[in-house]
Amino acid sequence: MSAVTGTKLLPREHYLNVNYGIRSWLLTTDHKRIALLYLASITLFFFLGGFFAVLIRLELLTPAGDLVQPETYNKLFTMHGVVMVFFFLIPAVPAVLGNFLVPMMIGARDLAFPKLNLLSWYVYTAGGLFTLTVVVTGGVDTGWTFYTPYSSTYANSHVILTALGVFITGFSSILTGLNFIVTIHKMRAPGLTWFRLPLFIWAHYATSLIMILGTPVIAVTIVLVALERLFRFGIFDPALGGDPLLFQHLFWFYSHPAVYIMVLPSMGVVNELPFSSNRDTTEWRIQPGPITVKTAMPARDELTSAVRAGTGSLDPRDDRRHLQLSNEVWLDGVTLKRFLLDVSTLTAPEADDKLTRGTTLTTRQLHRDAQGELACLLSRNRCLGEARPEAGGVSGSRLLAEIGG
Amino acid sequence: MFKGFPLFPESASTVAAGVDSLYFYLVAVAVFFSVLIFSLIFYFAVKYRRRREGEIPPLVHGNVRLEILWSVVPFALSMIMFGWGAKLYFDVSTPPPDPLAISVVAKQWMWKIQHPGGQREINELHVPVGQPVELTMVSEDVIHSFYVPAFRVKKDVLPGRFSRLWFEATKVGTYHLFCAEYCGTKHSAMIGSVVVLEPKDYQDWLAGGPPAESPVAAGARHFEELGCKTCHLSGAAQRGPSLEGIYGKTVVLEGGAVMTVDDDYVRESILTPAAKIVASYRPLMPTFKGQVSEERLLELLAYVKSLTPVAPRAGGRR
Repeated sequence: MSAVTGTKLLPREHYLNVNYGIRSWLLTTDHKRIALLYLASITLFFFLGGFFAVLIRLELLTPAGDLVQPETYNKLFTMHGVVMVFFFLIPAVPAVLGNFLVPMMIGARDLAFPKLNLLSWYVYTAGGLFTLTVVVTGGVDTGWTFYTPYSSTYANSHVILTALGVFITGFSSILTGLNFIVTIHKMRAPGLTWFRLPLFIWAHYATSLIMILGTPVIAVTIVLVALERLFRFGIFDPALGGDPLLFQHLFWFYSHPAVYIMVLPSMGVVNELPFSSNRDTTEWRIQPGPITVKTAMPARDELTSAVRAGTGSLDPRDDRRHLQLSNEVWLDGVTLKRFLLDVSTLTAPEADDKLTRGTTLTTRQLHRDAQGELACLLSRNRCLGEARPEAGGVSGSRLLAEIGG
Repeated sequence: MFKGFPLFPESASTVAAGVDSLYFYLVAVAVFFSVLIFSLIFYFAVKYRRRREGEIPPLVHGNVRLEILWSVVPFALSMIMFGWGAKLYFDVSTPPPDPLAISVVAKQWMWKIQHPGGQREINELHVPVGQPVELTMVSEDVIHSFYVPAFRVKKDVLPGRFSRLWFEATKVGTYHLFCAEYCGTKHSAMIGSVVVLEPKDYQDWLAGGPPAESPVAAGARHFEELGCKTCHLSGAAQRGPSLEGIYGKTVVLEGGAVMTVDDDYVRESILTPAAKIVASYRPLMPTFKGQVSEERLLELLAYVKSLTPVAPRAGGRR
């Protein structure tokens, strides 16, 4: 990491050594510590989900059901899906890298609501405990999509407990999304206008929009499944006067956009890679393609899932989805090509006019901070420094001075 | 070439070739761009690597023509996907006139099939080659999906409403039938076969079994037994709308809405009579929910259809 210029030893006191002990971690409101808490718990669930996948593959070594019975096999792929989707894929990048980097990349000391941030981790953990309880007490066999009326009437496994776990975890997504949106709106460093924002921030902004728009829908839907199962309310089961397709409409209203909760932050991460070679960030102003794409995706997505209502095939995993696939291919293709452009122009221009210099200083400075911070984390003895009062952000006034100068 | 190790499923229906061409187009586009993009990534990564410490590369301001090019070309390619896909979708979902009508009732975990002559079979479907077949399908419990890979057709089978699927087999043979929607413990065992026969062999097969009551005849029997006749086919004094010649026609409902009498409407009128009352009638009819199985419902439907001399195509909600 010698490429990170201006690095030196960590400041005497930083977020890792400011205090020690379980309490200081469990009650922390520091965005970096919360990111690490998330990192630990998400990794745990990743291994759990991976363990189920290993069992699935082992069973599939032979056609006969010789390692596990069909019931167990169905539970394995269900638990694999539930754990990986709701407890790994959805929170992985936003809750870890987003929590860690978003404040630093926009020049804020922390997220707008640090306590809410901590709460989101506790909510995630509570939802996770429900899911772990399901694992220990016998599992659930509906598939991660919980299709009705199988889930609401016919399944004989822990549907309600799992549903509650997913419901609760949804709120941690909502809290994180809310926090990011407010932070990005209100706490950017002076001079850091929207079109000077790094694409990582744009990606997380767009993701946060989906989180707060889509998650409530699945939360309500999953509660309706539980209500139908518990009290025989006729919502989804035609035998009770319900409509099984209604569930699919509601479920995919969240779960289809949710693939963008998974992929957009990753695209944001990839977009950052070329910056390590000092690329001119002002280019985004004249080529707003990636920004448009990133913010258009959630909007387009909510719309298409609404438009698809009324057709027979709602499930995006269905192979008859080419109609929708076509616009997806296009948008994703455009994003991919942005990445290609990034790679092709790993360049660092010397700024020639004042405006460009200002922007370059701002965002590049912030980028270095963020990257340096990660480097600190990885190597434990390196840091960018430049006389910062504490780890966690560059002071706005100093940036202003640099811009103005 | 790869005997015993098929790289691609057999194709045995009129729509298979069309589906495959679209599929190959998608694969070709994906492969072309994947190869292009990954080659360029490696090429650029080598070409523009940092050659010395503190190197300052030239300023690149972007290129509007390039931007337009790589936005318009993928847009055109994906619009081809859209147009082609939409056309294929409509072709595959519109059956030709006068198909052979076969009914399918799915349940955990079997396929129950009935031919127009009343012959029943389970987990096996015999059809003649070169003749369009339309399946009217309904589930008794959870959602299933009728999937015949060799025909390139798949359709969800829902409880509480009819779904339809048509195909025309082009090759004599036996093909796999799968349930393609997870439906519980023995989902993986909910399989069967579609046996495509020469038309003459199909006739022989139909005649081979024990004598069967046709769905229309069975429906007429149910119609009598359940007392439907009293209100719906008894002349001037009847309390409900006459069912003679009603199938496929439009009726005006209480409140002015207009409704085409199709399979789903007939079904709903038996199970939830009060839902859509024809104008000038009163909601007197009791529900038959729980008293009429899916099979008997299909037979009643066949009978109601037979009351309209040449039933025009009404179909169900798709």
